[in-house]
Amino acid sequence: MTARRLAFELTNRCNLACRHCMRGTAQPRHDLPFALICRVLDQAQRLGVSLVSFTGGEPLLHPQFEDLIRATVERGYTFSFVTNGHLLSRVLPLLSESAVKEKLIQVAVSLDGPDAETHDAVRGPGSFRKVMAAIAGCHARGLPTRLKPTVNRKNLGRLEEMALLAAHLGLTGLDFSHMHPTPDNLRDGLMLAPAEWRQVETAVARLAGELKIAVGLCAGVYDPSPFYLCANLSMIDLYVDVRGNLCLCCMLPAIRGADPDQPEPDVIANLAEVDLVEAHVRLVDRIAEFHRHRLRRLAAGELSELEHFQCLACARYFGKLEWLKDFPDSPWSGLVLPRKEPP
Amino acid sequence: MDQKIKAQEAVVFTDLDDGSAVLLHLDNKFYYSLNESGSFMWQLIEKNDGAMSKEKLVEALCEQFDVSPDQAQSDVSEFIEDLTREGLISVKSDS
Ligand SMILES: C[S@@+](CC[C@H](N)C(=O)[O-])C[C@H]1O[C@@H](n2cnc3c(N)ncnc32)[C@H](O)[C@@H]1O
Ligand code: SF4
Ligand code: SF4
Repeated sequence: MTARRLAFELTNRCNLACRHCMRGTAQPRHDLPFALICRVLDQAQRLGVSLVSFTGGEPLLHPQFEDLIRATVERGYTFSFVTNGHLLSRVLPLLSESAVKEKLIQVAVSLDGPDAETHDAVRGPGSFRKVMAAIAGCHARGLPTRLKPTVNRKNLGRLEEMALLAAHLGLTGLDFSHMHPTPDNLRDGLMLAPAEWRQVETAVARLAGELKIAVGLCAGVYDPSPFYLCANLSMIDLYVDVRGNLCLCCMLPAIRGADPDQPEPDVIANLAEVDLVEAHVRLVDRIAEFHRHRLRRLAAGELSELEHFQCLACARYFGKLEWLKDFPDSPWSGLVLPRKEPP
Repeated sequence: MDQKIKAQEAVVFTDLDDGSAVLLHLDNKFYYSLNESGSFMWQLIEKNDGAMSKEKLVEALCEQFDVSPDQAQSDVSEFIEDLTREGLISVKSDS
């Protein structure tokens, strides 16, 4: 089994400070070096990777964003990226060049509400208009564009409107995500309860069946099997964080709330020191260990309801949710933290 | 009687690198393409925030592009008529 997609966290700098953001702020701010990206792109060819994707922070803040898009395309990869949209107009000319456009699979634009009030409540005043202007530019240039809403307390009742917005705007589709808990989004009351996540999944499945545009829900969904497999656990997706580490996925490293001084077992190897193929070997071992641990607990009857909530079960396994103990009243604490023995 | 032109709040403008532009009406989610002179006029209307008149637009168009005053007059009239019909601008009589 080899990887198909390779994702880079290009920078941990950002021009916004969204209330729901999972990216930690305890780490120093920096950009992933261009030379390292090129080296990893070269090494990834041996693994049969075909799609390269970029995230952040805000990926468009990487000082060599244009150069690395060219480096990606020159090596024959297709590419996609996720953005808050504010700086998209800067790169429209590049993305419109035929050699680049032909390799562009998708621009995913984060949108957290069907109107300014709902979206800006999370992303800050004026953001909705900027995102809409960016989408108009992408549409005018014929770029494949999708919306990427993260479902929170404020937009929970607006899923259909967001899907219709994507359809009216002539976009290729939209991909909802569950919003993962952080101390801030729990404190702000933005976080939904586990039962509401299940309702979101039902609502999204219904929209997907009824609308002509593609409607999806990203990783983190409830899986009836306790032995879930996402694209990262299946090693279809590889993820390189802003420090140049091959990591299990984008949901775990330097996540908000996790103690920055604790070891990070989801970080596999630093690609400035280790070749991607060798790092992949270590990733196989780490994932095997993860599955072994799960299977042993399954056999011992120790798997709880939490184990069906994909990313949350991982986050607990990798020690990222210790902070939930400060929120004893949250329904997630009951699910994630070990139950207290009755006196 | 002077006419003052105002860009509607619910419209966003996006500049494209070839000088053209696109408008998106946030109420009905329709896109509108603007050519170079349309983009130029829209930006003037937006910048002057309700204070732009038809006469000033004609003047600015003649200065910026190689057009006769008659041609500019008719281009501006047509532009204002089209954009008003689509609810992209409002025109107020300022007596
Ligand atoms: C971390 S951002 C990076 C790219 C860019 N800055 C943006 O906002 O699109 C990638 C995606 O993660 C989403 N996201 C942020 N915090 C999240 C959370 N707590 N749970 C789930 N998704 C989250 C964002 O809304 C965005 O769609
Ligand atoms: S969600 Fe994206 S835009 Fe918002 S603060 Fe996080 S990284 Fe920045
Ligand atoms: S946290 Fe686990 S389930 Fe979620 S994307 Fe990462 S590896 Fe997959």
